[in-house]
Amino acid sequence: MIAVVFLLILVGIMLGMTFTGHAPSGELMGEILLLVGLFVLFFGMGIYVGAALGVLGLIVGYAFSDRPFWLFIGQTIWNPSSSFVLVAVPLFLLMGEILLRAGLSDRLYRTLNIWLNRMPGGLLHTNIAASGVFSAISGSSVATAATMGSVALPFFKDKPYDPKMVLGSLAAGGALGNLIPPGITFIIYGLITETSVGALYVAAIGPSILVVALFIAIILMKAKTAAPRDPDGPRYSWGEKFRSLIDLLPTAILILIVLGTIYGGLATATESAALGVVAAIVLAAIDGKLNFKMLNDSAEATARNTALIGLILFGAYLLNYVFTALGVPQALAKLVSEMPLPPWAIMLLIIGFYLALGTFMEGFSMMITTIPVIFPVVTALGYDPIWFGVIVVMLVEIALISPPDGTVLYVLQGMRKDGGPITDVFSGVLPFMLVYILAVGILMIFPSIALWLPTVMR
Amino acid sequence: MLNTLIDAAGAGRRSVAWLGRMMGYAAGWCFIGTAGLITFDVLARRFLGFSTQATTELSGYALAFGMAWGLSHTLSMRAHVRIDVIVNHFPDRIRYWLHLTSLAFLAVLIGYLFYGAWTLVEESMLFNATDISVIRTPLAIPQGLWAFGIGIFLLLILALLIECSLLIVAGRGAEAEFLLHSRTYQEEVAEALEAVGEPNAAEIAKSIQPEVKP
Repeated sequence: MIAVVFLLILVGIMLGMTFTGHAPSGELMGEILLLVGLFVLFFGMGIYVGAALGVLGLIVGYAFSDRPFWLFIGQTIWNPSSSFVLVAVPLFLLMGEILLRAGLSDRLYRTLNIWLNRMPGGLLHTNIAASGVFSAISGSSVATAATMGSVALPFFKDKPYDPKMVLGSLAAGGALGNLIPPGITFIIYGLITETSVGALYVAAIGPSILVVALFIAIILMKAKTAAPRDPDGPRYSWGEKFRSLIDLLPTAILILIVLGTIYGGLATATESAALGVVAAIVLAAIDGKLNFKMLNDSAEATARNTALIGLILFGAYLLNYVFTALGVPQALAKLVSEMPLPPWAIMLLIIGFYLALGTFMEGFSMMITTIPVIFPVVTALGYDPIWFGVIVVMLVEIALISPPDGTVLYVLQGMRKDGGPITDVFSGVLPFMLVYILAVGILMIFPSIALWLPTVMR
Repeated sequence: MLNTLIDAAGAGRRSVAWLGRMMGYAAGWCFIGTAGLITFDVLARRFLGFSTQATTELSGYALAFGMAWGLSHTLSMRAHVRIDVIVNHFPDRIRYWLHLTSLAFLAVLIGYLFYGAWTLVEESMLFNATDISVIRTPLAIPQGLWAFGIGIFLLLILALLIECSLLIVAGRGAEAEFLLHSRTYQEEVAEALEAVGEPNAAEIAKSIQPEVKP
């Protein structure tokens, strides 16, 4: 609902500017509005996202291009199909699928619980940490919510925690997965905008720390009422604590292999993803979880999720090819930069646009659909491509948990056994969502939080 | 009469879907192989001082192969992304036709893509194009496999299009919807829980209410 209202306002502003003569070329404006209208119509009809983009490309191509654009379709989609950068996507997905089946989630939660149990806020921190780590591995927000819900919720049975904060922290943790490297969303962004995936990963470090710190602050603030100290709660000796770390060791080794090689400059994102897959297989084998069925299931899920992204990429590249041949992104960038608005105001509109879109579109589709058109505008406004990549990923994550639309919230609601209303989940996640938005604001004012590290490491 | 036709179309669609399914598994295993190849190359470069000098190209081909060969299976699993928030609010009759329209759009796009892919293969064969890696792969081979994946995908779409049109005409639209609607949260949750080894995955997933808009 919020989404629709915002999008209507945006169209209204554009229309208003056309009629008041502020927009420099009314004709182009009309064409853009027509295209946006077709987009909305196709998506509303439930057309496959890839097909909607591709067919739109064909329509635009036949209507406006006098060149035989269809001769280049093969080359246009072969290029992203065989891109070495994009190979990282199926490999990271594969790694996640293998780890999912290696029984990681349960042990992860238990160990973190032993360490964080006595902190003010207790298990709520565990929720954030476990959800965050898990969503970084799994790549699917629904899968994260479902698994974390099934692992974590039993821990809260008969404990005096506020169910709102319990559910809210679980949902919020899941919204860290794509921001904390290595997320797949960054790879797609890097591919479309031709920016370095490595630099994006480095730039994401600062903002990740910022968001996690804000989340912890929220829990500490609410700790007194939401997580009263349980005097009978189990106390763990230091011996037990350190022994529990053995359970975390596989995860730690894996993170070291994947992130260490990227940050150490030893491997590209694709290479480190391949190392991650092999390491995940080895870890599963050590645990005795490796078998043909498990590997076969992982292969199937990976093929499916890669093809899903592939179809959208095909459509987007076709549309983008036609757009670029017609000079649409350049014209749009010129149009926007001539608007009587300061750059930050346009950036705010873009941010609002993503938040609105994200409520009914899943992250990948949203990015592949919009970035080719929006990116030239953003660079024309003078914003840093790497910085914008981090912002977009944060917005995708926020959209994931914004009530009343976020899918994750409904999955968590379904997993709980106490039968409370869905509004519990909404009000629980709200503070986390607000500080996430605050983090985007902070990043707008201090871009160096993201951009300082990449310049130092270059 | 109509029912016989539907049965025949269904049998045709199922055999293409079976082929697509096998191709999907091949695609998945191809990714596992790619991980092995790249890992070998990284380790060999670091510790043994040599490189295959073709890994970048070969993994790129593996991606193209995997992406194209997985397309059909993904359609059978109803996993290609559609935005169904609005569609689900329409009455049955309109919804069935929208599902069909959506499939028809896909047929148009993939028709063009297959044409483009095939043209590319023909060009590569005509010019005996090879890549610049040490093994000088003739480009027609990876591109041919890639085009084949897209071709089977097109075949499956057409088969589904025929079967579902017949079903809707015969007043059995619900069966068409069963083949075309996008995956529900329940299905995704069940899959995730099964993967982590939750014994009651299906039941837990079933207890999740579909998203209700306020």
